[in-house]
Amino acid sequence: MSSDLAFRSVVELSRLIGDRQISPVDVVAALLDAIDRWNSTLRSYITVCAESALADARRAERDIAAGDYRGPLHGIPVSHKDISWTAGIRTTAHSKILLDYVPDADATHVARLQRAGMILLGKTNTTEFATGGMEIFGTTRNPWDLTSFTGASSGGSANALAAGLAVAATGSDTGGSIRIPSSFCGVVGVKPTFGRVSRHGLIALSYTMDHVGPMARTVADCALLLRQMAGYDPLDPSSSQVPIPDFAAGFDRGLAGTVLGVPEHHFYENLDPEVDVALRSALQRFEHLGARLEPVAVPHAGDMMPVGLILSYVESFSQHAEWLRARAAEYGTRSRRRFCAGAFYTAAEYQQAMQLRTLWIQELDDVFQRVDALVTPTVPFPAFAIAVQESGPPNTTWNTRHFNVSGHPALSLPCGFSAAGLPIGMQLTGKWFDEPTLFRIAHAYEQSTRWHKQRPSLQEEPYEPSESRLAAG
Amino acid sequence: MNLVSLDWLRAEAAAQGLALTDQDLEAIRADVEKNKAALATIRPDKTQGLEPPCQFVHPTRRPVAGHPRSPARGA
Repeated sequence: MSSDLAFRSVVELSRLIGDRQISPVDVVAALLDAIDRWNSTLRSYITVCAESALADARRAERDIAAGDYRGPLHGIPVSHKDISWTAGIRTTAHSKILLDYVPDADATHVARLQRAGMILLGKTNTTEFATGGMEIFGTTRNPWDLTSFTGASSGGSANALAAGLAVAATGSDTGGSIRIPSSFCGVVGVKPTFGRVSRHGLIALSYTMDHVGPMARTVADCALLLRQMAGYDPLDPSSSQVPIPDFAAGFDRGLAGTVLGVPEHHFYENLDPEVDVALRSALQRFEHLGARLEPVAVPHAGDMMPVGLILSYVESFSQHAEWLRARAAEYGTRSRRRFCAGAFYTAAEYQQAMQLRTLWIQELDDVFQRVDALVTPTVPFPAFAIAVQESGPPNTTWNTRHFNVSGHPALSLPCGFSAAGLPIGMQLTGKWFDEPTLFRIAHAYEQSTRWHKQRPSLQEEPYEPSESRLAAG
Repeated sequence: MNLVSLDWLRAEAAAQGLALTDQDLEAIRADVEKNKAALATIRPDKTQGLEPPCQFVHPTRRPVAGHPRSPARGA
């Protein structure tokens, strides 16, 4: 029962808690058991809030029993990436610089989920400042193959969900950091429209490309979480006043009449053969479900790699400049080099990149006049070995960075497995603030498959990494 | 390509108060040079000249009206 609870969806747990068939204490206890057993192997969490989570669960149990039920997220545990402020709980960004940083306040998305009654279970592992290495708290391991990487930078949220160490989580996405680990770990991750979710209290990486979003094991769970996270926030001037819809409202409509764009450029180039097969199969499934496929031209998609990198490097250098001057030795090699690279672009180059960004948005706007969403692989290949990640990984943002540049909403959901048993992810991208259509399409596909019901078989004994196994991976 | 020399990076790093080793600068140079070269080939006619036809519009200031089925901003 305990293990079963850890793998239930948020929607299922919500019904069971609301009907008082189970207690939030049962759910938190089940997750803490799993964390005790597997966190030293998977490195999912940097901080586990065991005592406060149990206390909050008991409080939720009492409140619900007394009739003070706050809604479908009441009593559900949530795990936040360790770059989101949590009042009174350290927020390290997996960095030496913030190793002992304890914020006074919650990030807005943390506070909103807490107001809905969610219970903070812990802070999940990330790369240093969501961009560098994982040298202090260890590297997140993929539950589907412990020698494989999870993807970055929300890898702790993704592998915790996949392995039953979390039921709901949040992440941040500046170049693909929600979608890539979701793809590699076989879960669902959503990068909402720019402005949909406040970034107040998110340790900034790249101000015009950072997004906060939900991660879970099903599309419906992400829709439920996003509804609570979204909305205008006076503390984040980039947040939007666009009304917040019920993101699950279209789930019953199916896909009849839906037009899905299949890019003719860039996104299907250089695919791993197994990813290619999985995506072609998913496209057939969409047609079977009543959607129409339409090839679409996006001739400038390839330009967005250098454009996105220049914007990201310059903005992140701007963010870190003072620390880089005063405390450079406290940065890991990878993040120090990435951040400092931003110091060597000219103002003219940054401005040109911004103008090209606008042209890319216009190109996508034209495409979205004809289609409801784009279908692409999330990453051109499945997860690779941790040893490769540490020595020089391939470009995982090949298909994702484009939509941080443009701000369009995009999500990743499972669409298959490689022969080696590693998950393959599909990315759906939609119109600005049209997440309901994305969720509708993703839900229809998900419910017609069983990919989201697969579970990794973790070894009975905790995995002890060794140099030989890493090299062999 | 040689758009970016190690000497220039070294001098610029010093001017900006960045304590970077030559190993750091070598790694940075490869990356910066690749991105600068790529940017220089991408539609310069659209971003340069006396009256560039494309201005940057911040995402939060974009009208949503281009998307007929999107809710109206500020409604």
